[in-house]
Amino acid sequence: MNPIPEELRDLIDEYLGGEMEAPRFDRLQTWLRDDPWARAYFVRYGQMQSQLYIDMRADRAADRALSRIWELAGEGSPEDSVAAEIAALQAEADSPAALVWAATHRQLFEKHLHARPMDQRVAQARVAVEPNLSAWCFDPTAEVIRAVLENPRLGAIHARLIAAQHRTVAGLEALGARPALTNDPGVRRALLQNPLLPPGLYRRLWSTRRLLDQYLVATSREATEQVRTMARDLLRTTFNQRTGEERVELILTSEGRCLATLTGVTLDSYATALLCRRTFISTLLIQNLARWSAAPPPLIAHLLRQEVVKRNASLRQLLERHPNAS
Amino acid sequence: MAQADNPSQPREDAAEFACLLRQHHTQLLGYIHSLVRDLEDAEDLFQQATLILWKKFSAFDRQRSFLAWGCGVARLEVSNYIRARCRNRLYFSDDLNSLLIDAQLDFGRDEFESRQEALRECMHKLRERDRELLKTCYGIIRGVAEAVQATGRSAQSIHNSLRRIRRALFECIQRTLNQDFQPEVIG
Repeated sequence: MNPIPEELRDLIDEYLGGEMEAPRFDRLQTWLRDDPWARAYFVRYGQMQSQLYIDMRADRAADRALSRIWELAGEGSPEDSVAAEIAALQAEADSPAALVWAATHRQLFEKHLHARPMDQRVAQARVAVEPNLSAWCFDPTAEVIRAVLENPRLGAIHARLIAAQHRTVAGLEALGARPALTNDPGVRRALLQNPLLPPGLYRRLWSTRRLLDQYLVATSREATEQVRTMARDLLRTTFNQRTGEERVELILTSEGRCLATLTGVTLDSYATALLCRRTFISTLLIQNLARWSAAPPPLIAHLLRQEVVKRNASLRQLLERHPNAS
Repeated sequence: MAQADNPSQPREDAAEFACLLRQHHTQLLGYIHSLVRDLEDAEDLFQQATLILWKKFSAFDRQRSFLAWGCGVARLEVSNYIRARCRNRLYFSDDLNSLLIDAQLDFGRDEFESRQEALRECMHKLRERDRELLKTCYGIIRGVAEAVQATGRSAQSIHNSLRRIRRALFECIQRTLNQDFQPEVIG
């Protein structure tokens, strides 16, 4: 990236620090408007500052929550009290409270459990109760994660923590071998966001999902490129194994956008017949079908008979140029 | 809460919305924070914007970026908020805001996550007293005032220290990610 002048860095610091006066603000606006590098720097520097606020707040919140857990642990029936808190948080897994809960257990692991020898960690994780059970989910080794998965008190919230935080293929495969856990939507979502999600595990978990679900993963801007690639490969593999109705549903729902992903795939006569029964009014859908080299001849002929095509010369030309146009 | 407003909205929508929000909530909050520069206000506006996003989620075009959509909604909320309260006149013009949303989108999720991770690594490399200063100033409301009281230093001196620490952290992140973002100037 281009060098960022010291003056601009001062302006951004003043602005984000709330110390800026109007004339300097005008200067900052002009600079940001004119210089894309300045905007790139501003966005990254601003995000770092926000992250600092959020992390520091979370740290303090975690300190307070941890103190509370220690208090509960001294009240005679700590497991019940803490388990009740977990149950409440499970009902609201995406809440700020749940995020703080996760931060608390990470801190518990890092401060009190991490330094223990491996054999001790494995043995303790297998029989741990809360709050340690959730904290063991942050252990970076597959051995301890396997032990956590054998713990009879394990629930969906622990599986979600492992799916989101764990970074070894062996540990994630161990989680994937437990269908009772991977059927949980929260676990599946967290796995999709995990950069270490093994391709084999992705295939096993998503190959039975609807084509439309697979397509949404394949095109999700939120997923990593690695996951999108896996999703595209799986979609191509499973497309021809599904019923004609499901294949047609995918094409129609995505207005043909899925066809760009479906290179090398063909449409059988049944699915073609289902499409040919329909009246087409979407220009985008017709364009996408016309650009798909595998569009069968009867479908091209059917599209050419549509009113919207008869009225639109460019659509008509596009279809007439298709290699399968008679 | 939001489901009560949309009783007919399918549970799948709620799950998808929660997933998208969880993926982008930090970046969205960061965007709002960069506009209002007060975390309390930013969190309030984040709540409002989130509610609107949920109410309109059935109309959300899944081919679009959720973050871009969220930033667009949040921008209007911030604009209304500032107008209503007649405060904080230092608000970017609409055209610049659009450019900044584009810059947010260029700042992809992968880089965002790498930076988050690098920031945490770099935090460990800070001197203990710098880390404590950050915790005091960023961890509570009116943290700078508390730091002034606790250390006996002037507010300007605290602000200068914070600026130095922020820049050192940013430089450290750049080094960690091996990005050439003017390493010769920071320091």
